[in-house]
Amino acid sequence: MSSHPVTQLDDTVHQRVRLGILTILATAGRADFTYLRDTLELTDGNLGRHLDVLYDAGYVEITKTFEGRRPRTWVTITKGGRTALTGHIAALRQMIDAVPDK
Amino acid sequence: MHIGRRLPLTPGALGRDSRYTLYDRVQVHNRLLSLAERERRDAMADSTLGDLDNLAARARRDTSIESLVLVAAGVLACFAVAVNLATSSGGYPDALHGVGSWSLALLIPLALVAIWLRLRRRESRRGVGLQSRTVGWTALWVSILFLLLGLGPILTFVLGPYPVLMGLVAIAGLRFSSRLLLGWGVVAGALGTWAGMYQFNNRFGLPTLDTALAVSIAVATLIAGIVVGVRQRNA
Repeated sequence: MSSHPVTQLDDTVHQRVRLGILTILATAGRADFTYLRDTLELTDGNLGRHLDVLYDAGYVEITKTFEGRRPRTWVTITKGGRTALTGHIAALRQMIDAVPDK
Repeated sequence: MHIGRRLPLTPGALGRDSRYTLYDRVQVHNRLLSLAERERRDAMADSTLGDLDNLAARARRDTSIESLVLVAAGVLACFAVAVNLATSSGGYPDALHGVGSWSLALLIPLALVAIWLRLRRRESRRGVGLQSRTVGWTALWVSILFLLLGLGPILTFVLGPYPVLMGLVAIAGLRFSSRLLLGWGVVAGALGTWAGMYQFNNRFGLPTLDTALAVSIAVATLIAGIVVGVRQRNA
């Protein structure tokens, strides 16, 4: 018997903000902290915490650079992050397909 | 509890029936909660995917290179066709072969470097995108092939401007998942090559049609790039 798609959801990815971060990174390749914060309408602290979770899971890479004297944080998606996102979205689509039409 | 006995689907159906134990009642409640949770997640999945589509569309718009590539290809094609026509001699206007096409061997690598620099600046300003890296590598390879190995003059002079120019547009479409660039590169490239071969072989005597086709592809590419750019800016 096949399991319900819910069991295939990745809890790290499933959180709404983290799903948004990975989607942006998978589309654009890389983004900086400010772009992610403004696009997802988050506070610095909130975004920082979500990035830490994704970094600990090995789904993103974080690079800190300096432009002049201004620090800049670039975030890129890893291969593992891309795989996790693809699997998660596939599970979401499966769940939608499983809902019967009214 | 009776093993193998079928329990009612809802807690209400259990009623005050003494045959059902407390354990049975907890099981029915848990099953109902689990079903409700699944339904809630299914509904969430629907709206979440919509939100993700919007985010992806915005990221795509902020990193789009369609306009840049089409404008660059259009400018180069217009330049090549205009110079070819201006320098043609012997009463045979050839829009596809001549000094204009030949000069593309140098201009195409230069245009790729210009696109690379433009993208780097845009990525740094907007804080999103990594397309400049791919364009930079392409510029390096095209420069090596065209300038160091001398492939450019052969390709651009013999085949006319379109196979090379539109080939690069199609490659950009493949690399950056753009159906517009891929489609444009393939169709315009095929038409341009078709016209170029007619003219180069000098067998069919269709100079007017060939010239019209060469000019139309160049102008249409430039206009398409401008239109895409304006639409993206207004989106």
